[in-house]
Amino acid sequence: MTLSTFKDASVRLSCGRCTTTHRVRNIHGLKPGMSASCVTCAAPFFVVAMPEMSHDGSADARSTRQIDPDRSFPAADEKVTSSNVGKKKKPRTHTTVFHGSGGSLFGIHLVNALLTLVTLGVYYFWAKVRVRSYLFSQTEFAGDRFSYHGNARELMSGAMKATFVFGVPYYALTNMGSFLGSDMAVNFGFQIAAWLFLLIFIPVAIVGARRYRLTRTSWRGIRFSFQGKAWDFIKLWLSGYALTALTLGLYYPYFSTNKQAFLIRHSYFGNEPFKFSGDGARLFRSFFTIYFIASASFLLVWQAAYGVVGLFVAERLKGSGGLGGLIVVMITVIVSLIVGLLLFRLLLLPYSVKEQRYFWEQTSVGSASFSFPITTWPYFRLKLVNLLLGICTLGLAWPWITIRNLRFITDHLTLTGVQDFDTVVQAYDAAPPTGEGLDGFLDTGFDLG
Amino acid sequence: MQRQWQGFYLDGQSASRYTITLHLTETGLLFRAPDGRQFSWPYRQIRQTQGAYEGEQVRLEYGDPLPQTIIVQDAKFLADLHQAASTKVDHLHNPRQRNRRLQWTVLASLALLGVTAGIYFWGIPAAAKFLASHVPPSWERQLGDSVFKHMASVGRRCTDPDRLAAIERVLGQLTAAASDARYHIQVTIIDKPVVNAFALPGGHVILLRGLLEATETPEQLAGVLAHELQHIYKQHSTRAILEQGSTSLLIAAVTGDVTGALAFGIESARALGMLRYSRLHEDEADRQGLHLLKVVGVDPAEMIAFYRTLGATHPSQVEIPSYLATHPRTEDRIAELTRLANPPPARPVSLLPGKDWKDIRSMCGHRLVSPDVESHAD
Repeated sequence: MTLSTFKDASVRLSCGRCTTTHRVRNIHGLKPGMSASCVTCAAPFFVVAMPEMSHDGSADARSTRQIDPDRSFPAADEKVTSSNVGKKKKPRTHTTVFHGSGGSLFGIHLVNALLTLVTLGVYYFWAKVRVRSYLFSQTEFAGDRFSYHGNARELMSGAMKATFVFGVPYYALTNMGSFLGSDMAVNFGFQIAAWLFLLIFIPVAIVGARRYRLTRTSWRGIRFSFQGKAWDFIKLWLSGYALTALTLGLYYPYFSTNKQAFLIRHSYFGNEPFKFSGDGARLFRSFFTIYFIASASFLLVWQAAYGVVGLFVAERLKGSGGLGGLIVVMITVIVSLIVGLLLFRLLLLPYSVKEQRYFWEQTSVGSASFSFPITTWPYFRLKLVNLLLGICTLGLAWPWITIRNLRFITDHLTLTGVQDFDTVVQAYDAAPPTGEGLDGFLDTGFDLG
Repeated sequence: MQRQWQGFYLDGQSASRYTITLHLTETGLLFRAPDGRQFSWPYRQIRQTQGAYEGEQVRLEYGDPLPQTIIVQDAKFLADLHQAASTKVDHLHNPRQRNRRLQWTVLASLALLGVTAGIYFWGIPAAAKFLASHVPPSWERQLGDSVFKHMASVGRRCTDPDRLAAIERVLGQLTAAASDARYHIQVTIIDKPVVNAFALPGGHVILLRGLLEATETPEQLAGVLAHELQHIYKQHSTRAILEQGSTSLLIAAVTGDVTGALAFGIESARALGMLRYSRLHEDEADRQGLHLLKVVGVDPAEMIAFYRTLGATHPSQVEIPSYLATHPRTEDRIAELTRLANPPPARPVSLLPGKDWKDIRSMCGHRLVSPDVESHAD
């Protein structure tokens, strides 16, 4: 931060990071040791020493110093108002800040819960909108907050559509067998059909929700949007699912990256597309490592268990011949599968951290790219504390858990290399996306809530 | 009062943010965009989307569906706006009324407590009872049969025909007195040493050998059967399913979104919530079971005596559970039953006169059928 006096005798601060200049309204209010942050880019600074003041309040020394931006300081009463006079554009880094508090969200939630109960659930959609509006408007990026433009009517009709087009047929398929009282084979057929139906529904729901949420989100008055076609995502989803199954799970990092690529590459901020340069091959190694460790431990545990159990049980099952051996094999396979899966689940955590970090790093918009430098231990601690909070409060800590999760993201997410936001223009189709029939429905923005 | 404010203007067409100076007039907001255009927004048509919370920037929007926006960082702006335009900006947030919002929130939380308690203690049991009475018995029968297939396959069935007929005679006298034609009751005895009995929806009663052998008289067995029969007649399983569903909905409404970690907390809340309903059902089965005994003419003291036997032999887990249920304390149940048992019938009925109960109850020592050999067909 640099303090300087202008011709009109006002004192201004210019931020060393984003080069914007801010007018200081009351220079006498600044005291050594005070801290604040830049209005535009949130770079923290604090007052080291005050220059000699002339009686009209102008100062000529340069004595406030910008501090290490990675250390955070509580923003003190800001004595500066922003004036975006810095017209020289240099690439900058922008951070995200979350301003909300668990208490406020809990207050909103209490009222929501009451109204939801009293209206026998109808208020649920309005409640959803209130919560999202709060969370969005408490999230600040590069000095500006997000806005949520969804409304309860749209959420409700989305939920209705999903219920009638997918919920009812799915329910019918799962229960058809027992309703008709048909035999095992037919019943099994119905279950398979229901499962396939669900498999198709999931990608449609993901795309629909993303389309709805992005078009109802704005920053600096510019809407986001999603232009991907549901049918393309279904194809990607089904082939990815099949390949993952065929390769016994080894295809997963590619599948996951392809999904992310589809979702990012079809997302827009105004007319500016998001770009994604991720490659599943880059994640394969870490995935293969945990896959290998988990399978190896499955085999080891199985061998060990087979040896131990075999010794004990063989004695007791002497009479029963081949059946006894089969039981021993089955028990040991189940035990070692559980061990292997638990280990896999635990090792998946560092992998998922790595994956999230990688996905963000490969995402860019315009000339700027994201960075999300999270590490395993803090992420693990976040999830563990959330779990304990959820269990101990029997679910009542929901607002705090939500905010902890959000804050974890905003604390880490930055966008580096922004040239200019001024070139981005609105590209929002004012008419909400709707269509005719099922084909149109697939690309309808709808949200399951 | 300050009439001029610094703010940002977003035109809704580009992501550029312009610094502007706002003027508060009597009728609207006046400002000049950087390109020189002059704007005047009538207060009535301005919407406020941010700035209702302490320290939050004030965001005012104008126009549809892609509004133009003004952002004022200083939250004091709102107070001056209300002073400048008073009644014309009633629809915008007034920081002076934040206290009132807090009061409303506190009030809402108290009301929420009341409504939740009301629904939990009264609404759900009443609704479940009402809905269960509209569930066709054939559905219950179907559900009961599928559970029965699982349960009956865990051990061999005791099928000695003469002794089973004697037990069915005890059951027959109870069902005749209950005269509930909706359910055809069927008793199955399974060769397990556990002291336990189950009632399945739709009409199956399962007795385990351990329980049968613990009864001293046919009248004691009648006490157990009467209790289990009432689980069936009062549709406790169906009601439990409905109560479980609605408790989940209630908890979901009170706790918000069910995702990830929260699901565990919510699951435990539901499990805890269900215990009370289960105990209510047990109480009802006890009371109505005892009533049934009285109608038949059996001395309720027999039922109470059997509960005492159980309490003495299994002090830690005193149970005659219906399936998957938790129970009130045995002492409380005995006390309640003793209260209801008075006055005892003048001439108690003997259910199996002239029969040797010790021989009948040992039926599992005589003829057994493995579950794999005979599958249940009905």
